[in-house]
Parts: sequence; C-alpha cells; structure tokens
Amino acid sequence: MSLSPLLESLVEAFQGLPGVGRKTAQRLAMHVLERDREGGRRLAGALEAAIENVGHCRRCRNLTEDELCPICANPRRDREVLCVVETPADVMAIEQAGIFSGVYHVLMGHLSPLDGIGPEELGLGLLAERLAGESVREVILATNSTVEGEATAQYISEMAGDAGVEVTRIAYGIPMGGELEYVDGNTLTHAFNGRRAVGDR
Amino acid sequence: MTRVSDQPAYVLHRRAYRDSSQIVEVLTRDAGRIGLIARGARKGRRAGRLEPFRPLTIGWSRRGELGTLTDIETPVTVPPLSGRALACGFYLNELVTRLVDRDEPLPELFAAYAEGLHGLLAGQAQAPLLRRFELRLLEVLGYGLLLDRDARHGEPVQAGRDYLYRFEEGPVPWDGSETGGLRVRGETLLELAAGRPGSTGTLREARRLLEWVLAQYLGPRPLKSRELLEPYRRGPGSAISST
Ligand SMILES: [Zn+2]
Repeated sequence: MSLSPLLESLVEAFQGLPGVGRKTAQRLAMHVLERDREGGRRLAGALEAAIENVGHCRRCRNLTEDELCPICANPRRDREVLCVVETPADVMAIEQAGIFSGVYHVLMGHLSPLDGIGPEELGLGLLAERLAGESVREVILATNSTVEGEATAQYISEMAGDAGVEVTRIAYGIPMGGELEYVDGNTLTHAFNGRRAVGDR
Repeated sequence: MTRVSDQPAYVLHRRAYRDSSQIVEVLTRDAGRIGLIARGARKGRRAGRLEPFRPLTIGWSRRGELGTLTDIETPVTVPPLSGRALACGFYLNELVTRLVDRDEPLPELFAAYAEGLHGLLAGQAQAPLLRRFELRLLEVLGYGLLLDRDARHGEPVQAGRDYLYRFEEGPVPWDGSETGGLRVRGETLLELAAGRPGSTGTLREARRLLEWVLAQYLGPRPLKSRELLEPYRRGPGSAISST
C-alpha cells in the first residue's frame, strides 16, 4: 500500500515521536484528517508557536517563552531552597507531586565524562553564580540515581559546600539506576521527605 | 549468529537508544570489550540493572557489529561507589573505552579491572591503585613500561639517581637535558616496578609519568573524567593525594 506524498510525510512525522510506531502513526494521521481537522490545526499551531518561542529561563534554565519561567517569577516560591534536577521533565514530575515550594535549577543533563560532558559542558558555572549571588540556604540534589546522576550530585555538593550552603540528597525508594522522570508521585514524596544531608563522607 | 551465556562482565558505558533501549558498552572476561543493545533497559524492572561498576553475568546473541543483550544476572550485590571513588571508577571506564578496541579478548585486563574496582570499593588508597591499573592496562595492550632497568645499558635503576624517561624506550641516566623524555627519580621507577607506587611520597611524579605516557596513546583529546577529580583535589589535605 502506498500513501500520497503528503499523507506519507504526515505519517512519518508522527512516527518520529517517541513511543509511536508505524501503526499508531497511521491511526493518528487518519484521525486528524478524517475526524478532527480543527484539532489538527490547533496542534500544528501549538507546535509551531512553542518551537518558535520557547527557550530557557534566564535564571533556572527551565523551559519557558518568557525571560523567567513561571516558577522563578512567582514571588510565593521559597527562594532559599534550590532543587537541582537534570531535565525539565523532572521539574514537571516534582511539580505534579506537589511536594516542593522552592525554586529549581535545571542542568539539562548530567556529568558524563565518557560522553565528553564535564563540569564546564554542563554549565555548572551558572549554578555556582546562583549559589554565590542568591540567598540560597539549602540545595536539594534531585539528580537521577544513576552513576552519572550520583557523580553530578557529588560534584555539586562540593561546589555548594565551598559556598557554605547546606546540601541534601533526595532518598530514592527505588533501586540504583532509576530516572526521576519515571518515578511515581508517592515515591517522589518519600524521596523528598527522606532527604539526607550530604557531606559526611 | 553467535550466542554466549553466563559471561562475567562490567558495564563501561551506556547511552540511550530509541525510546527505551540502551546501547551498552561492556567489558567481558572472555570476549573483551563489546557493544550490546539492551531493549527496554530504561524503564520498568530492568531499569538500573545495567549500571556501571557492578559485577554482572550476562548473555547475548550476535550477528553483526552490535549484539543483543539476552540475559543479565547480578551474582553478588555490591554497594555503589561514591565520592572520590566514583570519580575514579569513571576514570577506569574512560581509560578502557578510549584505549581498548572492541572485540579484542583480554582476560588479564578483565582481572585488572575487577581488582581495581574492588580496591575502590574497599576504600584502598586511590592514587596508587590508579597507577597500578594504568601500568597493567599498558602492559596488556603491549605497551608495558620498562621501569627497573636502564634502557641504554640494561643496568638496574638506582634510587637516588635521576633518569630521563624516553617514550617507548625506558629510562636513561639523566645528563642535564630535558629533551626527548620526562625526568623522573629512580625511586619513583622502582616503586612503580614493585607495584607499590608512592611509599615515599613519589606519587605525584608517578602520576606525571603515567599521564605523560598515556597522553601519547590517547592523542589530543584529554580524559574528561580527570575533571571530576579536580574539585576533590582542592579539598583539605588533598594536595598530597595526586589521584
Ligand atoms: Zn526559572
């Protein structure tokens, strides 16, 4: 079976999304064209606008189209508690669990020497500037419990220690190797409440 | 198609592949360093089983360049590496991935690697441990260092004398010139040869020698994991550690 060129390119575009195989991509394409052209138009517009306009928060590097993300711009968030995460998806997971009222720093990755990502490539200088310039009392390290997440947490804990800031690490109720994004809200709540001071090594 | 089972292995590195899979670089006992695809490794029950620094027993099937991981067992549970030992672990993995080609069976390397990790977990002094590993790695790869004899006349290296270490040759008595090699003291060479570098504070020189030799094989791209050791080196009492 061969599709018309426009239809084929639509199917291929859907197929490029994570978790979408050929079958699902075809179903999505048919759905948009046969039953929901209006919804498809909204999707196209939203995609276009987001890709054009969404960048990174100047302060925490979370995704936003404004200079500051809604969390950094919210005066009610506790600026003395800074949670360090690897990705914007981690921010979303923590926000959905509703367990944290401080602010974030989004690393957009982790230290991974074998991939050529050291402290500089990860932009840890920006975090160091925040620790020196903002009145942060506690840094909560919520990087993944992979070896890279752990190495990142330990590097940052040294940095924060140098800056005289208290450092805690969330306690995972999951085995080593877990990625925060895939942890459920309940486990995340336990992980936050059970966070422990770092530094006595 | 080849099938292998019950093979002792360590994960050196893994990177995301497609939605939820990983390409895993492993060091095996009998097959050397190989690349395997681990399907569904990032989610569900299998998540986290492919972390580096854990002794594993694995199985795979293979047809081309990359095999497919079919089986993972964790025969023993070891605590995770942390702190400086974790940074050292990354250093071992980076050295192996940078210097060892895929599909070269090197059982001695596997033994040296396992011993190194074990030492890190046991809290052994890290700098001498890393030097011993570097020496053994070079030896396994056929680049073993001449340490106890003079490269020119074959005379025993003596403590209290200075030498010029020539790359891929060995030490020659130092005659005041610094060109064509690296200046080292006799005791540094002897301690390295005896497998106990650093017993009289020569660790820093030993590190410099190995770093210099390794750099010739590694080429211009520096080892990234060294940067993870930097902040620790600034800490109290760390000036003498020379990890
Ligand atoms: Zn922000």
